[in-house]
Amino acid sequence: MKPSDKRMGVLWLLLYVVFALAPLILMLFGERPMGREFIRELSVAFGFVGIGVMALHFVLTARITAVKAPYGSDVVYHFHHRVAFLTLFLWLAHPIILAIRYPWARSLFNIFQGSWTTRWGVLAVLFMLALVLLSILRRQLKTEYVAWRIGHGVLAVLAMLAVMVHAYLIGRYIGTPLKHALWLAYGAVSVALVAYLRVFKPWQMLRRPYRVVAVRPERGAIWSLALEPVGHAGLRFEPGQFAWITARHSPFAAHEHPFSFSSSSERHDTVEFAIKELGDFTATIHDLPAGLQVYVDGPYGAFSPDRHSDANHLMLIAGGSGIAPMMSILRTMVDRGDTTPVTLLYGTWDWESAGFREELAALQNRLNLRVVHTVEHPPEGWQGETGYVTRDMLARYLPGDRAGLRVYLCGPIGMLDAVEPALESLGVPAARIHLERFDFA
Amino acid sequence: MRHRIANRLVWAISAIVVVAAALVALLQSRAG
Repeated sequence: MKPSDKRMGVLWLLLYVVFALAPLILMLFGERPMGREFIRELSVAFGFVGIGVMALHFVLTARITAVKAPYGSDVVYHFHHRVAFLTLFLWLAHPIILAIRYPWARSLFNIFQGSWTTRWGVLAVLFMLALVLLSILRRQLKTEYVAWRIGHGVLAVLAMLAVMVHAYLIGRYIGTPLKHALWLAYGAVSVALVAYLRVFKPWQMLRRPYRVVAVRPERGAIWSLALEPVGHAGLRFEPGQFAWITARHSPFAAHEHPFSFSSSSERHDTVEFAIKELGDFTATIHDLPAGLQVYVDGPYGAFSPDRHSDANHLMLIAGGSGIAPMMSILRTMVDRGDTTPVTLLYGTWDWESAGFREELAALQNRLNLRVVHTVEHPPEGWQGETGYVTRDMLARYLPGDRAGLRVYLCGPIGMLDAVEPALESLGVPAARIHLERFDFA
Repeated sequence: MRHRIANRLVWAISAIVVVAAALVALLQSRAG
């Protein structure tokens, strides 16, 4: 990680805590109402800090490059998922504490009878519950990705607006002009960030379109999608990064999907993505006709050797479609004449589905590269590695000097969860293991 | 590694938020 990234990482974190707590702290300033029972004030405090934490979800998911750069997009989304449980806890704790302590408060939660002041609060909690439950159950419910994303955004905005109206109508603690202004700012910034992501960014993408040059089949149900910029200079990315692609839809429609660049970052006339057929959108990639206008939002991600220039050996470990960013890393090294020793450990279902295997064999002659395939279902007479990437297998291929090693790991979640601790147990410092989890939902 | 750090940060932030809320509630309950 660059020193500037480290500094920014700490700064964003401090700002996160400040903005999460600001609504709470401001309760104590200026004109304050008479104190009430502690438990009641605690319920209110949970509600206020819950609004602060909720507002910050809009920042986490707005794809602001400066915010994501120090951590990597996958970590920011991971944080967003985990903090969602804290947010839900705070939002539920507020009414539940009141309901337990004050029997009279229970009738207020009847949405058909209560005043509008409490109705907005009940609505906010219902929106929040739906938001979290639909996200947790998305796969079980087999919700289409794009439909879920649009619903997720709409529910988040509705929850935020409802809770703001609820707090505003109650009025306690936000009676002064300064506090009014702060509340308006929290609401306005949240809505503005949604507008940035769903209006400004798509508008930028519309002004910088790309055209499909070719869709090439690779082994393992992978398609190489080559795009060229139309009327602009294209984008600059680091090998290992990814971008969101919109095809067959307007960029305003939120029909976008994240894919790793697979081409060399040194080539700007065309960019390529290696896309495996896995879901509803990826199964249609091969039907994209040459000449079709598509849109690219990126680059994103911190998964790149360009961020760590101190490696004296690179170990790339890929499973299935995790080969895409590795191809970008290797192709970039060729273009740069980079002779750093590289070991690629590549796990696939079988030998026939080992995508790019011919190109990888050829790259061994152009780079200081060793390619090790491991296949789950080996062909007859196979003499190479078989099965999952295990600790023993890693021990066979890790270089002796592990202090100067950098490991890049990309593949199915199960593989990442198994390989990362195995590497650490073999003496690879945790800070030198980099991985990308494609879970941006 | 980064995910584990993120998990710890979430726990730390959760603790800060809950303690801060309790503290503010305590101060406010004594107001007036």
